[in-house]
Order: sequence, then structure tokens, then C-alpha cells
Amino acid sequence: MEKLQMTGKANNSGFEITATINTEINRFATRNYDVKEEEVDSPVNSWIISAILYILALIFYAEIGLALDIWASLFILLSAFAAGNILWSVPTLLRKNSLWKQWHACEHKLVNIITRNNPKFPCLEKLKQTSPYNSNCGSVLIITTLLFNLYIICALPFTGYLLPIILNFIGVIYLVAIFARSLCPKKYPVNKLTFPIMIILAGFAALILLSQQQA
Amino acid sequence: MGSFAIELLTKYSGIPYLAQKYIFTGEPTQEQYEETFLLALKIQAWQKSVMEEIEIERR
Repeated sequence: MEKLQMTGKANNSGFEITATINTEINRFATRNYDVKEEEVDSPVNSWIISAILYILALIFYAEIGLALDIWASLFILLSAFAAGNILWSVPTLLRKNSLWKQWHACEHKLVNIITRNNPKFPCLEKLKQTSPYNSNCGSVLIITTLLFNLYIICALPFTGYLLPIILNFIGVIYLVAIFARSLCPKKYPVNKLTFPIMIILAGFAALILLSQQQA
Repeated sequence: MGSFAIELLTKYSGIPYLAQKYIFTGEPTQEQYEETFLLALKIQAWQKSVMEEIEIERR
């Protein structure tokens, strides 16, 4: 039997689902999804800002091990930017029942009920009972990378400037996640992106460690 | 070792699950459930028709 693949996107007005079976693709959206286009799917308002910060962060990453003292002040500044970027999304995420969160749950429940109960006919009660958790959601990528980031920080013997390093590290991973998702949300599933990103980050961590040992 | 640590932190820790449940999603209203349900029916109908077409092509 051909497998049904589904990707979704939610905003304040509803959500859309792109369903694929073999070469057949169809888009399904809730009533008002296209009416009011509010970009609340990504916590960052513009991915361009994220991209610039991301590139800057990577440059500073390479520099940190080579000339920590010279770059320290700029590094702290960048960390503040990165932290600010995270803080930007906090009010939206902490609001208990924002429309975006509700539609996001609906999107996950729909994907879960269709893929798990296939080919049974769904019913409303079952939809309510279905889990809102979906392992392919972008939020999992963000949380995963943040956790991995924490793991690297704990594993590396940093001596000075710990706070900016932690702040920047979290900021960079956050930006990588947002940037990767905004660039290719549909082409590549989130779980396929996670591993390459982690490899790149591990490479940077190794670079820092190597530079510190040489100094 | 590294991949095990990732698995431990993500899959087995349940942290992404909890984060998604309490931070990234909320409890939908009855209207939202109803609209979602209608969409589920539409998707199932489309899926059924595509499957039938594929079956016909195979024969």
C-alpha cells in the first residue's frame, strides 16, 4: 500500500496540510488559513535577520579560539542579540492558549489520526483523544539541538567567558534550527536535518577545543 | 557514544514531548476540532480516490 506523507504548517488563523501519495500532491487548509496571513509560525519575524546573525555567529565561533580577548566584547554583543532573538519568541510561547498553539495542536492531531488510524474512518471523539505530539515537528528540532548544545558545553573544558559562550552557543543553535527550517521546511523532513546540523556543531566545538589547547 | 547521548537526551528523556505538549501546543476549542475533523474527512476522501486510481492503473 502506498504511503501517505503529510507536512503541516500552522498560524493564528488555521493550518494547512500538504499530503503526498507517490507523485500525487494535494494541499488542504482550514477555512481562514489563507484569509489572514500572519507570520507567527516562526518565532522570529524575519528569517533574513536570523540568517545574518547565523553567519556572524559562525564567524565569531571560528574566531573565539584564535583571539578570545580581542573578540570578547563583540562576542558578548552578539550573544545579547542571540538571547534577544530567543526572548522575542517567549511571550508567544508562554501564552497558555494562543490561537497559534491551538491550531498547531489541531494540525498534529490530524496528522496523527490520519497516519495512525489509516485506513479507518476518523471520528470527532477519537480526534480529541489523539496526542498532539508529532516527532517530525520543527519544535523537536529546536529542543533537540538545544539539549545537544547543553551536552557539548558540559563536555568541553571551557575556562573563561563561560556565560557569553553559553548564550552564544544556544543562540547559534536556535538560529541554525530556524534558518534551516525557513529555508527548506517542505523539501527535507526535520528529522533528516537534525543529524547534519549536529555534526557541523560538533565540528565547531572541536575547533574551539583544539584552538584552546594550542593557546 | 554521541548518537547515544542524542537519543538519551531527546527520544528517551521525553523533553521534546513535554515541551511540545506544554509550550508549543494548546487545547483546541470545539469549533477548531470540528474544522479539523472536516479536513480529516477531506484528506481521507482524497486518499481513497488516489488509491483507487493507482489500483486501476495497476490492473
